[in-house]
Amino acid sequence: MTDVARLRRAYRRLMWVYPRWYRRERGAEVVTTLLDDAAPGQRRPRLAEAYDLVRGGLLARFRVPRKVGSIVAALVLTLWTAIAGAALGVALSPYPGPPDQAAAVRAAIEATTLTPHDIPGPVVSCDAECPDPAPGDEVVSYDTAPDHTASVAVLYHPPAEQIPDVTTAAHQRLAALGWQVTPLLLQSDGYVSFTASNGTLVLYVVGDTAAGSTPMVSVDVSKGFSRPAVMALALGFAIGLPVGWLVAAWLLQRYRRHSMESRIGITVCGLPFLFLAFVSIAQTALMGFVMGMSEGGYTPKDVRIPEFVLTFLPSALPTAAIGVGAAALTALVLVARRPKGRFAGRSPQRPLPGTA
Amino acid sequence: MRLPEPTFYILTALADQPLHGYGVMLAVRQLSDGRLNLRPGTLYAALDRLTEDGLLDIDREEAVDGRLRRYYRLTDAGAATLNAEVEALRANASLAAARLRHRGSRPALGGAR
Repeated sequence: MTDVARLRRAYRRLMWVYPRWYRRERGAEVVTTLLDDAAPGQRRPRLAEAYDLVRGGLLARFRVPRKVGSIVAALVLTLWTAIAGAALGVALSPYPGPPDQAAAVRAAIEATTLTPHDIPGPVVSCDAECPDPAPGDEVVSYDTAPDHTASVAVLYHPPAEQIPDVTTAAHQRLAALGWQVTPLLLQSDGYVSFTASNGTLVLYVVGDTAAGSTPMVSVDVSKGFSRPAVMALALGFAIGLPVGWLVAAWLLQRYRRHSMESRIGITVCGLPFLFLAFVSIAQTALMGFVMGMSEGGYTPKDVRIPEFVLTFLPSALPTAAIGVGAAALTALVLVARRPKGRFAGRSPQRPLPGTA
Repeated sequence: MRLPEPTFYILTALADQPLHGYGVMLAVRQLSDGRLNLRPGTLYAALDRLTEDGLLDIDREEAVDGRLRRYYRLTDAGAATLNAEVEALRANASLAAARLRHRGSRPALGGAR
């Protein structure tokens, strides 16, 4: 093999850093320029050339067409992917779901010194709004709701006149045991409530003697602040950003090289998803802002905001969600078809030899 | 807005005749007295951007001995952009030259009276 042939092969190997569409359109030309610039007798790429090609290839992979529509679409896709990454990260962390029922019941007994009747209780999967426990159920686990209400409810039915005392005693007992408790909140309609946390679990204790409702003391137990869940959320979001931009750049570069008719079809099919993605981004930002600004700041359950945002609409309007999903899938299939060979969106070119 | 230096030299290199990639590299090196050494990865990123912005276009392509060369030419928009840059540079240069001519002929601001 001659020096030139060896050098050409080495340059072509380096060109793999570039996306395939770029190699097809530009590969032979770039390699020619590299060979033209090579020193006589040079057998392998210089370090500076290799660095320049790797840098150029990575930039080409992340480059989106310089049009307002393309940049907006890339931003929306990127942020949506980051939110999806955050939701996936939290879903894979130990956080989701209600706490262990036995641990929740132990905590409730610790607070009230009362043992509920039916252990273990049923597990209820519920959506945006969870039903009240059925009569007779004193322990109920509510599982994986998109409105992040995953908790175990432990209910007691002492005589109505004892309910304020039971609640107040629970408050004092938990405080004495080292739980962080909020002040007792006495409401005029017969509610007495407080929140207690020991880091692992959060208890929301309510003594209810309101007229018209069944008198009871309820202890709603959910998981406490989870550092792994918060880290998974941040990591999923951070990974989602470059991945989203990379995918958006690939889609938009491919879109650019399609014929006008194909581009119209792809736009019509893809726009509903982009709109929905934009709404999800705005909703996540709004909920994140509102929760952060609310009294007491973020609660441990707020790590599930991304999952809630992404699953709420599909669970509330499944038919519309299927329609948007099917249209987005059609847009993807249309984009993924091999576009007609075009060069930089301008002059039609013939295929280049030996570059694919 | 002023053109980045590599862009200015690439447009200048193509001002009078179409050139292929290596030709642009050599011309830029020569025009900048060797100060600017554009390597192919950087050069083609700039050529892509300028072509996408409509400042350059493909003139023709040649394949000789298995080597493919594409020639780039300045479009009318590219010539107008370069011309605007030349005018801006000329105006700045005139301004600086006029101030230098008066150097020493006026008392320094804030100096002793």
